Amino acid sequence: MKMSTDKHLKTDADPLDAFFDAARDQAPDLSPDLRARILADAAGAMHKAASPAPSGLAVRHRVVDWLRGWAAPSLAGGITAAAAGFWFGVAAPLPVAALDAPLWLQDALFYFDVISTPLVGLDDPLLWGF
Amino acid sequence: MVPRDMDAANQDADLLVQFAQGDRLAAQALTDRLAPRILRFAARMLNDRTEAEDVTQDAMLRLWRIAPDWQDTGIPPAAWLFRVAANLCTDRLRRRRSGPAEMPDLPDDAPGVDAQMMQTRRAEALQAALAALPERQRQAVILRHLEGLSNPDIAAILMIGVEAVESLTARGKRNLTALLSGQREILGYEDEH
Repeated sequence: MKMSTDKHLKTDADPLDAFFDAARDQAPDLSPDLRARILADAAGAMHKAASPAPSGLAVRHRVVDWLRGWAAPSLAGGITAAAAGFWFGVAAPLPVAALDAPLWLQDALFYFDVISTPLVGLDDPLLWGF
Repeated sequence: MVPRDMDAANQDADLLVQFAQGDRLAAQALTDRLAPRILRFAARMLNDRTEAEDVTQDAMLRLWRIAPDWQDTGIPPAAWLFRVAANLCTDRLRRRRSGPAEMPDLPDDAPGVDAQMMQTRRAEALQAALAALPERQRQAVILRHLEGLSNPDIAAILMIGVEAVESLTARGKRNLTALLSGQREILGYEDEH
């Protein structure tokens, strides 16, 4: 077998080069239609990016809408909750022990202390790290 | 650094900035500089002109959208665009794989064709063989041997190391040679008598 004298081939060249050359020669071109579509997209993106910034009046309206929408109600709710907490603290103080633990837990600790602890030889369940 | 020199990369970046500032001529220049390369790449990856056009349009649209926020992160617009196109092609190839597999249709080894016909047949044979390559090898071979990019450029596009690019292109060429070995006539070989 010998190499032909084809202008695309040389005896010391990679045989694939002829295929690469041929593929480059016959590469698809950008059609006018596709170019127009791409430029239409560019115009659309440019128009979107160049949309006018909100005017001062529009900004004021946005602030008012924001306050009416959720900011003002949220602020009012926070003030009400703070006032209620203050009132409970001043008007109806409770013994700290009453808030320490639920009644059922206090009962459970009582039985543990009175009944179970002597059986295992401990004086205080808190020594177990409870 | 996809363009052959930094000047081309800088020109693309400058044009992108001008486009973001509202210069329509910059959009035309970028389209003429970049879209044909993306179209060629996508057509060879997908072996389908219509799908390649869709990928090209989609990739360019993403470039237009990112233009206002474009920052010089070390990757030029052309490389960024090739990377986007490669990902879009991968998505389409993945969807295709869920359907029946297609075997490449290599042209017959017919003697007696003239030079122009031989060129056409070589291009068709290469395209068919490319379609049979694993996807990453196909990407590397197309970018290296058909688009003429350097290995560091391809590494940036495919987000792999330069050595991995060299390995992919070498294996790709070996596979292409094997696939095309039966095409003696269009390879340009003649039997000895």
